[in-house]
Amino acid sequence: MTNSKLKKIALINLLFLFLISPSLAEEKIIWKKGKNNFIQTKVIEEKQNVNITNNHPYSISDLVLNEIFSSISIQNYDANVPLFSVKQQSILSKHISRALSQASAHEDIIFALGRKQPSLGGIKTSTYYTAGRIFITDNTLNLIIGDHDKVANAAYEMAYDPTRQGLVAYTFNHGSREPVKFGFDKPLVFGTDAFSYKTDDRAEWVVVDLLSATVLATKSAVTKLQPHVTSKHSDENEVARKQNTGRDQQPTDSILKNQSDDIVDRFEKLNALKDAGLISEEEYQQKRKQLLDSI
Amino acid sequence: MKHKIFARSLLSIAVISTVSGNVYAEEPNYSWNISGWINEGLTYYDDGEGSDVAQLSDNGTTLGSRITLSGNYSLEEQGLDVGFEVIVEPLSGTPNFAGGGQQTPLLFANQDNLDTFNGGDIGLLGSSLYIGGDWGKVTVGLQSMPTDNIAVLADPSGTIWSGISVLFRANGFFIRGVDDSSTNGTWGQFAQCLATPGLGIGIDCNGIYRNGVRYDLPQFGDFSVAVGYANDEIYDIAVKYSAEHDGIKTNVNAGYSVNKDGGANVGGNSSSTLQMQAGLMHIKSGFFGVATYQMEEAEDAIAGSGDDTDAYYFKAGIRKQFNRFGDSAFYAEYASYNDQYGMAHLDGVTGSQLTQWGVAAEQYFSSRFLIYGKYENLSLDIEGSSNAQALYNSAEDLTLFMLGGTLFF
Repeated sequence: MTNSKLKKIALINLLFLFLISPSLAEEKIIWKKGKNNFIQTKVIEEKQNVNITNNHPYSISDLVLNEIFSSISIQNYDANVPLFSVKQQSILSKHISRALSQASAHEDIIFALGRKQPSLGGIKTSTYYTAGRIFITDNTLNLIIGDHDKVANAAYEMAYDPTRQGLVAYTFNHGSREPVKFGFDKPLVFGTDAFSYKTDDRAEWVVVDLLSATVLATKSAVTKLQPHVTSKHSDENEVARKQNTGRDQQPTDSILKNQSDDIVDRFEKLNALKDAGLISEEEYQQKRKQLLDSI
Repeated sequence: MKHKIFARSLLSIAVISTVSGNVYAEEPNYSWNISGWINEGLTYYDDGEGSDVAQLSDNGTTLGSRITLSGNYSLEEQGLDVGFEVIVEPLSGTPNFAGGGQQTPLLFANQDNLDTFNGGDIGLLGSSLYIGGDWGKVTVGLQSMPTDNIAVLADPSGTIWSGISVLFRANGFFIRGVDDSSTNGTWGQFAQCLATPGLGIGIDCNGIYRNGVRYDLPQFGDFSVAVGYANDEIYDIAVKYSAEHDGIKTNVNAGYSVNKDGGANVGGNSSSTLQMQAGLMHIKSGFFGVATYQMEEAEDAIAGSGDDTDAYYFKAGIRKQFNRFGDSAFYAEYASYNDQYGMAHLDGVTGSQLTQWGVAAEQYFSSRFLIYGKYENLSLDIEGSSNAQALYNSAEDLTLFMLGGTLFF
């Protein structure tokens, strides 16, 4: 090998080392599966950051989030189609809850999730990705849809990754607070009036009132799970009773009842104070957040 | 009162939710798939002697039209994943090197300045079986080996269907000289690897599907490593790095291969190839760049055919969404293939430089379809005997203008 060639190789290697030098950017990966399914925090970009601070970290139940993510559909010709598949709803609910509790005021949560869609009697499967960003401001959850049903190019993956190691990473649009030229523009249908568009001209930006969503989640949970709760607790109490005969026990239902009564009473008192003009809107929102956080 | 009930229930559910996981819909432990792409178009060529329109139907074995049948089965109890892949591709009607040999997928079909080609049959490009687990993945059969395309596919822009460093198109066009005479050589003759049988694949020396065994190690971080052993006693190792940091997508591929049996070209019984490609793309602006280098050395090549070659390929452009249809891309490319003249030593050639440059525009429609137009120029400069000088240095440039479309499914 000649010296000139060795120099060329050395130069190229130096270039490679430069290219792969680690980044200093802080990003907390909350959940990841392969290169194209992830939920992570991301520092708000400078342009988006003007006069904006998120209420992060924020504590919110995954049940409430599930209620939110399952209540958004896309209006279609014959039937409304859920924005997120059931599996996506589950993943989002579970991990967005964690992400919001770990994010700082200057971070959004960004996500990309795929769903598989079989066709041709099951012999053809395509993957579609939905990507966006989520953040909380003023007890309102903001969801900005960037990509929806962005189809994975199986052919492209085949060329770049012939043994299908999952090496292909797509570039997703996670939406922006700034208006975008070619954003998501399909009409959405919301389950309740807790949802609305941020502004009439931003079809990709959904805002959700968290208090209303919490109430809805409660209602939904009662409908779906009350028999299970009753049954489960009855069984547990029966077992406990048999195992601890004579011991002074307070039934679980009773504890829950007392706690929930207390919280509901506090909400009612808070509303009354606000209605009477004894506290400001800002104080009301602050206290309401504290109450929500305590649930 | 209602609110009290709801809140009470919510607390109960909160307790339950801590001990119960989310339930996903049951997924089958097997899957089948049909995928691939069809690439068609027209090429206007001017070789200095004449011009015409030829059909553009492929981009060679790497990106030519293909249909892939694949499937996998998950053996959950054993923690294994097994599967298969069968790729069918249109075949050329022409043997792939002088004296016979099997037909080569589309390396020559429908892209030439002769009137005799009308396409060929459907043939098998690949057929393989794999077994994988936490320990990696082993693939056996006719397949893409680790260093296949290693210096081609680090292009983060994905604009590879219209522009890659491999000169498949050059295989079908003969070099035309002065006085209306023509040579026996094609442009691809000067973009051959020493150890690869008679194909103008330039910077992709191991760019042929081969029978072999390939082991992909488990990924670590943003790196992946694969090693392989294929027929013609080819051993190879490839390393890929792919990551996105601070809004910049970075791909770096590197591969090294040893060919102990020389293949059917001029490489003799021992040759080695080093290949590298690095690609950068600034996601927000869409600007991207690719740099590629390849070096091949042979220890006992056929006398006169040279014992080492190298090649460079550069590409720079922008890919960004400018309209509602999807991304648009514009780029320029430049490549130099040096001393890849192989069997042209019989004409007295002792050194060569084939230069390629081009500009292209692409328009994507979602991820499913793209159309492109490309202008490409090939020129040749050789060293050698006076006969060789007279023959090749008087060659006219080959100019191609291509309009094509690729449909992915």
